[in-house]
Amino acid sequence: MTAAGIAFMILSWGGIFCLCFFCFYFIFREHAAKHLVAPLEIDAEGEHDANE
Amino acid sequence: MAQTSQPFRQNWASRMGVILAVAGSAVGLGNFLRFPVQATQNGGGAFMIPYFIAFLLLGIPMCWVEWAMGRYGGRFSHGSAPGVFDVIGGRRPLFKYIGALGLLGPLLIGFYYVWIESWTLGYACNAALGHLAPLRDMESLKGFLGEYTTSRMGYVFFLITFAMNFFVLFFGISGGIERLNKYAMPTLAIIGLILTARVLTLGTPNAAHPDFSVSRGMGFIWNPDFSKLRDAKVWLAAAGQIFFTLSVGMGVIITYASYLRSDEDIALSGLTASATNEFMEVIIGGSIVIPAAVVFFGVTQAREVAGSGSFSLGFVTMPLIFTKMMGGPFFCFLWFMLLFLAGITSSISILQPFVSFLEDEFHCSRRVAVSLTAVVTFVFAQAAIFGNGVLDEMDFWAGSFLIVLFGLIEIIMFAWIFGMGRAWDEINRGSEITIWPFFRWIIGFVTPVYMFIILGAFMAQNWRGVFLMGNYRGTAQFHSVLIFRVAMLILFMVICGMIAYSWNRHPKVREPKP
Repeated sequence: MTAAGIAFMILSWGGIFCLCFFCFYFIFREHAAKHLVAPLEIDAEGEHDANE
Repeated sequence: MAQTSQPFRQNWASRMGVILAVAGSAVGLGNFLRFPVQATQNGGGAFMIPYFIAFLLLGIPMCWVEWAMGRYGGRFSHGSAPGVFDVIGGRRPLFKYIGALGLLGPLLIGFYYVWIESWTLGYACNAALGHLAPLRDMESLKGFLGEYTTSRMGYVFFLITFAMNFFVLFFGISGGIERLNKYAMPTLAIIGLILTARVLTLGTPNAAHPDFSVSRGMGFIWNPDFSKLRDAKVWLAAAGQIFFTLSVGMGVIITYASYLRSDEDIALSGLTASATNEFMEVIIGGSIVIPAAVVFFGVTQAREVAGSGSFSLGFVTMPLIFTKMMGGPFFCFLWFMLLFLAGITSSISILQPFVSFLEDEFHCSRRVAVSLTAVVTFVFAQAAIFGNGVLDEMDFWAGSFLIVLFGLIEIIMFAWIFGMGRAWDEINRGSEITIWPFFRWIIGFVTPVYMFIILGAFMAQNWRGVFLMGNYRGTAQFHSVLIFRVAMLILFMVICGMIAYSWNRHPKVREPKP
């Protein structure tokens, strides 16, 4: 394998790996964001009214 | 016509499911058999220059166009090309009949693809049982292939493979297709990586031939020959390879995308499916067949092997290579399982458009739609199995000509009939990535011109020999090919008749889902 062959292989493989990483990173990031659970909201004002 | 309420349509259960399904449709036998041959014959590493240019200017735009058309058509409860073209074309009468090409193509491919796919399953079983190991030369393996394809065992495997395909389709989009791809695609990737690792660690097994090495094999496929870039055929070969490998122009992605929700992203999903296909093709596909052939046969014989055709490469050369390595029967089994998984994930996608057509346009239940599709496919598959030259004819018309023609029609419909403004909005609707604005110009102008050039070159190359049947005159195949062409025209007219009947009898959804 020549230096040019190695270069073409590395560039091609690298480009495809980068594209796959980019795509799956955004997909799994969106997936994680959709599954985030917000903390429970405690209605302190409501409790204060109840205590009066 | 009275407004109808939206009938129930299935949806994909998950984002990853549709991505794996589209990737599964794209990843096929060609990734592992066609690409490495194309690369070695068209300049090696230099081939990747026109290849990636075609990926950028043809592959990605066409993917986005098909995903967008499909999702748009799904809002009107259309999941196949006739209905999608009808709404894209503003319900003008002509376009739904043009969409019939998007049913004819996948049907024709389906008629022979399941037969070829069954060979991979049969060979996998034969490899597992050790029947291939004693065959240690080209002639005996060629003889085995010839006997297998005409044997009762071959037909039994076809029946099993056929049943498996329709068993999956019976369970529908999420329960069948998505579920299969969620298991099959990762398995396919793992098997591909195992085989790649096996080949890349072969070293130099023959001490008498130190030049028969993995390094030489990888060099055979990757060392660039820049002089080839001056040949227009190389650029056409690269464009053709990108087109075929991404499964565009078959109406399959349109059908799959029609089951998306109207605001689901298609830009990132389409890009991901394409990237997955490229991983399987360039990295896995480029690292198995040709390097292994060079390691055991040397560059000269590997060049002959590369020119012998995909069937010979996959079913003769590769089994022979596995007989020469340690653990050969196991790796031979893995090789054919790789091809089988690539095949079945593609074949179910090819059969689904007609199922969707029956469900959406005739309001058939899934069971009825799948059963009717199975009957039609089974009957015509007999022509591919037993007809003289019919399989090659089906492959030419559907697997070569129709997909290029239909792809060109698709992009003209979407960019010019639907309008580039609306088309661009539709592609970006729900998008989770920012698509570079220059793609608007590429989809509108560059890709259609590229497609015209491919189609023109294709017609010029095949006009006399194939279209005018010059290649068949005086051969034993002439009559069977002629009968097949007449049958194909009749099938097209029957599909058009079904479209006319459906549009007259079954009211269509007028307002899209929001």
